Amino acid sequence: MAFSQLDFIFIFLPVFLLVHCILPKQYRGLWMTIASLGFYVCGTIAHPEFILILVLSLFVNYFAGRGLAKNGKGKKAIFALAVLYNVAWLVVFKYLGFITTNLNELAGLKLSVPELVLPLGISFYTFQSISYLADVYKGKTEGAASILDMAVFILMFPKLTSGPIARYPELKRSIDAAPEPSLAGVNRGFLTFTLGLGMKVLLADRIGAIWTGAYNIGFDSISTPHAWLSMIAYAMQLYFDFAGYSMMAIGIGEMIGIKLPDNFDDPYLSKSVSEFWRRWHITLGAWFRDYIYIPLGGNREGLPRTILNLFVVWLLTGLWHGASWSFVIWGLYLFFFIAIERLFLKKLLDKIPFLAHIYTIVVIVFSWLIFAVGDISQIPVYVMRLFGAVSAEANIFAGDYLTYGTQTYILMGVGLIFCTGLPFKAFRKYREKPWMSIIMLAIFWYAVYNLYMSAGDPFMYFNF
Amino acid sequence: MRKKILNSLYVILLIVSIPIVAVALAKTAGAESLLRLIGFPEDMIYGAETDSVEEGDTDALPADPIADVRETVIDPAEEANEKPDRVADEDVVPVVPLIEPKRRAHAISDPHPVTETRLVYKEVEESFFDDALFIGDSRMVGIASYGGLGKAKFFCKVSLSTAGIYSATASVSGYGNVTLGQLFKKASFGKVFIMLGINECASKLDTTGGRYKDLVNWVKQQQPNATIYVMANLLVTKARSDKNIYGITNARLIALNERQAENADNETVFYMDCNEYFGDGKGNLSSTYSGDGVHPYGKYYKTWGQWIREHVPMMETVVISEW
Repeated sequence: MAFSQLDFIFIFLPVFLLVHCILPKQYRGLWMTIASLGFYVCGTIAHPEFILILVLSLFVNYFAGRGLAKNGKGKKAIFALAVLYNVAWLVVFKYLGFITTNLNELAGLKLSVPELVLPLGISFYTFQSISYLADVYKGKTEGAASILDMAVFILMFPKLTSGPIARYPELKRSIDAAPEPSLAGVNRGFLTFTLGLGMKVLLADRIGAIWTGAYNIGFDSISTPHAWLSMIAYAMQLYFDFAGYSMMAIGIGEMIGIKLPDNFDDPYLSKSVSEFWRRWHITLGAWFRDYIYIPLGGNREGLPRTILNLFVVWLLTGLWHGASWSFVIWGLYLFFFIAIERLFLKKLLDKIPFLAHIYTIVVIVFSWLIFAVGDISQIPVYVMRLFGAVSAEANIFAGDYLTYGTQTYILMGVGLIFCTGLPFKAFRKYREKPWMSIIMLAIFWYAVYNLYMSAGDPFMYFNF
Repeated sequence: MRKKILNSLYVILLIVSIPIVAVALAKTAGAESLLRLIGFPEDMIYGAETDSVEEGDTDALPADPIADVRETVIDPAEEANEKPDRVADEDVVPVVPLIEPKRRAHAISDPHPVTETRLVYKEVEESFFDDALFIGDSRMVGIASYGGLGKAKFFCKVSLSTAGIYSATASVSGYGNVTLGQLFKKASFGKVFIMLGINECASKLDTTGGRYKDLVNWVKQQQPNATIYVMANLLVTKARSDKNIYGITNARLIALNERQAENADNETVFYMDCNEYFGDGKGNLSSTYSGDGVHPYGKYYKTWGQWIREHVPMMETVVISEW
């Protein structure tokens, strides 16, 4: 189940809210836990073992947290073992295939390569668990007082499958301080939720058709205009998809009076790659900063060590996004620019803001190309098409980029405006105005219409 | 009070608009559409439309379409006409109608040579397609853009189906945005190629097969001088077939192709099946050819176009012995 599905919007969410508002405060944690487990099960019916892994993780991390909170002699060992436990699941499900494939190729072994399906949300909930353990270990928090407390933190369905990656101390404070449910609170949350829904369904999914088109044609056979268009479209699609989903999560939190951390802050307005990654997937960047970069020494131990620490962070960031060499290359590509910014480039960029904006957009949009293409061998093929070179096998249809309907181009124009951040500024400023409600109502029903048409009509659904 | 309403205006508008939308939807699209609005899957709302084509089910080959026109012919040995057994899905191969050559026997005093008329698949010049029309869905859009079939015209559109073919409009080079009926009134075609079906795998196969047959008959009426070529639906990759989304599996596509092949009489209607080239030998589209499992890459549409040009079915009379 996902937020941008009709059964979530019209069945799950209203039922959850209704029961949440009716229940007395002391039962809302239990209801959140039950609803979140139900939400997770609905999304993982084909893999019943996933819920067991999640619940086991919950218990192990809770009891490890209790052990850490006691501050006894074995604290370090408990911390190390518990972190290892979380990392082990990631390694098994996410990286084992990658590791064995490479061992086979590099060492000539013939290990059988496991093909495991990644449990839903594991990259997010293990990181939240590790942050929880680290915060308790460092004494930032005493940790969950009960398994129910822990369950609410880990399982909370708005952030369970795709983040934002929340921190226990802040979330606990927010939950404890949550006001009584009110129509105004639900109203506020629904406005945010609708904006996110619109970004995902109306912008991301529609603009994404351009990249899908390029992928289906084959990168060697797309025209040069289509190559540029698709690359830009992907950069927009990824942003609206992820930022939209995060906004929906935050909106659901707002409905029940809980503040989930922001995850995006107009990233395409950044003036450096370093700044971009403080404004894009903010909670992930913050996690790597607080739990990898700073413990390694951050920038406090001289320049060479700083560069090394950045290298480790970006290698791991790349791998977190996916288990393949293209993600490693992607991470190291970003490291390269962040490193040279740290060394000398930032000073130059600060002097020429306009150039800084262009530089950032170009570097980042190209970074998404590495991310999107996936297969390393296809990256040079795509770059060839960007700059007009044609491979022997190419079969290019010069009018390919014109085959998308007018609406797609209009939405790209709208998307560009959203990348400037102006609509978000307007939303924050005029949220309470009646006309904003009318606009959001239109966005809501138009998004629902799109979902309805694609869900019900196999011709539309497949778009064959 | 006013402030309270303003602070809750959006939720109030949502709550008020839901029944309005629901009533409007129910009136225009039927009460079942409300279930779809709240996310019920199609097969729960309407019941499984698809007939159960089990893996491995294939109908017998279509009846020999020229059996009734054999008169004074020497029939080949009966064994050569045997129908295949039911085959497992992995052994399913694209269907090619088995046509026995027609031979003409002669009395001993007859001075004419013995000839045989048989179905052949021949390479044609690009000019063959000057008066050709290709009808199809998004895969035909790919052939139109990438297939390189000379001056052929294309009536093709994403999501086209036999159900929607008569009301659909498509942009046809030289004719603008037209329906197929309008196009047929304005132009005469010597050849009409049709590939439809993948967008309606959710329907019963007999229903779709029936609609296809009606379409072929209608095209015959509209274009009496045209030879019609029934193109088998290109299969999908195994990975795509295994997902079985809305009935799109290779077992069903093959079964649908068989029904469509029945329209071939090898006089004015022929059947051609590109899956013999693009298949993986196990009843799937080879994964080499497609990224999404359904649409070939641009460069392979060119290969497809080439295949079409090199495999046009026709009846050919050959001399098998002089006398």
